[in-house]
Amino acid sequence: MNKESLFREGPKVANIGLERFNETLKEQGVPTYQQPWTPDHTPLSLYLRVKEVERDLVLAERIGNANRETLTRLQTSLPILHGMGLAKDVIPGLSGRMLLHAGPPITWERMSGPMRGAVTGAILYEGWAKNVEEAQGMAARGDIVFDPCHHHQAVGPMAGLISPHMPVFIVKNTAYGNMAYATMNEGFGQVLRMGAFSERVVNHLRWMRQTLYPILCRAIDTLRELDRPINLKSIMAQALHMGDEMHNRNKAGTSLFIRQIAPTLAETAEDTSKTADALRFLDSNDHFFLNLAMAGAKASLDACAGIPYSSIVQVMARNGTDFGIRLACLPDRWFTCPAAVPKVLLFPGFTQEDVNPDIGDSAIMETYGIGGFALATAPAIVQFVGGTPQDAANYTIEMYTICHSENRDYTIPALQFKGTPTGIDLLKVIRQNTTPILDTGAASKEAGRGQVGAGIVRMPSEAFIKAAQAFLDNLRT
Amino acid sequence: MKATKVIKGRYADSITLMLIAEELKKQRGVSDAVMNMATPANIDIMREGGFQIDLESYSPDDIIIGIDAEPENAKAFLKNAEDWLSNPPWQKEGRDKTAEAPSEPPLDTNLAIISVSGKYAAIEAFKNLERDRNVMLFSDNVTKAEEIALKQVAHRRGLLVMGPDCGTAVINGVGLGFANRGKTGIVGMVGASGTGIQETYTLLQKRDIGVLHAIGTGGRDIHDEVGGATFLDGLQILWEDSRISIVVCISKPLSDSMKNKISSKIESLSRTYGPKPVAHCYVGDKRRAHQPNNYFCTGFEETARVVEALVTQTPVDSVLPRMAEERKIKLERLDETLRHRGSPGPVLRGFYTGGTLCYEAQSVLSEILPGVRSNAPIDRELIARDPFHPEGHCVIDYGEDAFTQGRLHPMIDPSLRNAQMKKQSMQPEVGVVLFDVVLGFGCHENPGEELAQVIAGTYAHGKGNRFFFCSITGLDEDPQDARKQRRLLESAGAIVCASNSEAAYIAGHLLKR
Repeated sequence: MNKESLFREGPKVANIGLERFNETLKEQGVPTYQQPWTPDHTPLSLYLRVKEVERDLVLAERIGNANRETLTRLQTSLPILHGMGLAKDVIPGLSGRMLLHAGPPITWERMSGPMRGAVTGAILYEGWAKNVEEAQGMAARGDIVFDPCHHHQAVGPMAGLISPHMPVFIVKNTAYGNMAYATMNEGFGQVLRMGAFSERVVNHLRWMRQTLYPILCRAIDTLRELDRPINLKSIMAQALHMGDEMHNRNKAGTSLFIRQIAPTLAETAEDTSKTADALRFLDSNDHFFLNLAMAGAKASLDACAGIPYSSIVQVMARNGTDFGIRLACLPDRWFTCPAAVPKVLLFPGFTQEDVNPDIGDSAIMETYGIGGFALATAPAIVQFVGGTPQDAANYTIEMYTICHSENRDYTIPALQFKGTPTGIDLLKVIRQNTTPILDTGAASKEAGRGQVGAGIVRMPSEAFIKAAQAFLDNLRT
Repeated sequence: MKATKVIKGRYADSITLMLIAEELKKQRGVSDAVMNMATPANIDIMREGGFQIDLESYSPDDIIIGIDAEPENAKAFLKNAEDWLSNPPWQKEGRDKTAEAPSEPPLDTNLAIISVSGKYAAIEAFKNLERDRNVMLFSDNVTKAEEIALKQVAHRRGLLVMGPDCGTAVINGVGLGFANRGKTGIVGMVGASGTGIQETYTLLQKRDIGVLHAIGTGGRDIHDEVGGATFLDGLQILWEDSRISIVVCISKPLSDSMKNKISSKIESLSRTYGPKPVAHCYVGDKRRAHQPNNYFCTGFEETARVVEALVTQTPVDSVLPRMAEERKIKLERLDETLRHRGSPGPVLRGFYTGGTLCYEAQSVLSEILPGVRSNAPIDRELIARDPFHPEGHCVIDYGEDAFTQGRLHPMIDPSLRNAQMKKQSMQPEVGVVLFDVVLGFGCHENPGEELAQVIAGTYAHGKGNRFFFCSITGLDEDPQDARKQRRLLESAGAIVCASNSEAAYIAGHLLKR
């Protein structure tokens, strides 16, 4: 009994807070240590309710079963590259003057600089307005309908804009039959997803539609017809062994993709110089595979929507203003809070002041169990996170404490081929006072200036606290 | 001056190049620095940034460094950058600690002392209870509902929660929080007041009486909703511990229901473990008659004297008359020595860092001077509306919320109290100034120094008919050394009394005359 030990033998202290108390105890010769502390924003009442649920054997078993079912569906999902099409023709519910964007729902008034910039660029690309002023006037007047990609089985990196005439990949989850959609990655520098909307940006998007899209589409269709569609899961598993974590590094995934598609690109080429341009573009863009990986993750996670009692997080996304999550058991509700500002390694000429709050659907990668959660496998980018492979491994190790299990298919050689931490368990997030970390790109606050750096960002706890409250309330009904 | 340098046939990844450029920018005299692989696109960007680069001479396999620095140093910095490619400076620096997995404590612990911001304190306390630790919760701003929940859980698990807002405790002779360095002994205390515990503890030590445990409960524990959860568990501990033969209970006034709970707890404990005499001190409460083994006092000095009587087996009933007699004599002597300095201004002001010391002072003064106001009044009608600009007789507790928002407690940082004391001591109507000096672990390392300056400063301005009264809640063994503090204050002209209540008594009467 520790009460007896305290009063009979004297205090043996864990000091949490003011260090002077630790010092004065040391002076008195009392055994004491300063316990590291990070603020836990969870209200005590919520924490007590979580504990109560854990003690309730019936409920705990229901939740356990639901979580196992969620992880089974997630890991038996098999995303393949099924085809391509224009967004308006293939994405359910995308019509008229509607633009899809990253993250939870948002209005033009509340959009950050890069989101507004990307919207402006998308309007110009669609030809709905002749110039920037007109485009922004339309958006401000409410002439454009904004809707999250996630409401349409789609995902987009950074601003994540999808407009009706953008070509998109169609990814099919062959295990469950559902589809997911993502645009082609535009490359680096001044790009729409970072909020740039210059003529060059729009022209590049047009080139992607007019030149790149038909070339890729023919090859992808041919592979599907030959019953040899590109297996995204297989590429991701291999890429993770080649130094990608599939969020900030997609070099291996992109290379594997090129290797698989190149022969068919050659066979289906109509104009070899254009096909060569297409291949050069793919080669120049280390992130080309990111959008495919995201769509693969989205297709897998969508198979987990609507599992009662599951405490697994099914969506994490940011729109540059808010961070939002959705739960497998409450797939139609967003739980949101202000987005964090990433602490990043800055590109030359930028300061931390320039960094926009966190933005993009790419958090789907961590929700899927890789990305930042698999940092231990990506030594080439560890300098973004503090310097050494051990620092990167520590992030991965920390994420095991909030995940349901180790991934069956995605493994980390450096951790003795342990599976990546997979299936963010909301109740563990609350209990451990640990929120997911992402390794992410960062956009400039100012529309049009593009990317300012890349680094690590920890998700704010408020959205998880709100979600936990709703999860617990939902158990009662 | 903008200068460039090329390193032929060398590759480094873009992150390394960016990091080295960042390092360069940190150097004195460098206003900009860029490092890139010399691709045409990168060279374009650098040219836009004002660097003179001839595209023809480089290939994408070269590294190009651009720097904007004072001309005399630019070369050296360019050389640094090249060296850093092989020996990155940041590899020697400390790492991001946040990523480290939580480690096990290096020792077995039985107590967590928590002093984090109140918003986060309750959950931290709960997690420590889960780890089977008792908790001393120094933090304030924990809600009453949270306090109740924590104390229920603790009671169920057989643990103790001291606090929230528990500043002082002594366990097995070891002082925790704000605590004085005294000896252990046969007395056990339970108190809903930190400075009340300190004042009684030091007054006992000065009578050579040691204390084994002083269990702090936090001021709200004795509210009816909380029901004295820690107070009652604390009494249990004091009875179970056979090393304790005298018990002291300390609090501000109690509700009738709390009084009943405490007395029936004491009755039942006495039946189970045998009787132990109890000295009760509920400051601000009306005087109650002693009962067998239960002695009711109204101040801390009286309480210490009652315990002394119990230890020395002299009659407890003679304590109060003797104390009154002694004080009367002291007052007369002082009156004589101070008479030549003329009559003081009509108003009394008190400046307290200890909440319960302020409360006790009011309790003493209420029998001497009418209408003494406070920001933490005994009588709600006597609230001082603007504690920064008091009027009439007024004693202020600088540990109250209004003064501690975003500041350290005045026992750690008394600068605000001292500044107010300095200002008000100069006001013409002020005649008598009262203050406290609280010593011990955790407290300010030399509170007397600045106070002495304030007093000496007042006298230097020709305010000779001001009188400063204080007492020192502390011991010679304390880190601040009570003797040294006394010398500082006395040489500045303060009158250092034997106890907080004596200071208030003498100050009040002196003004009245």
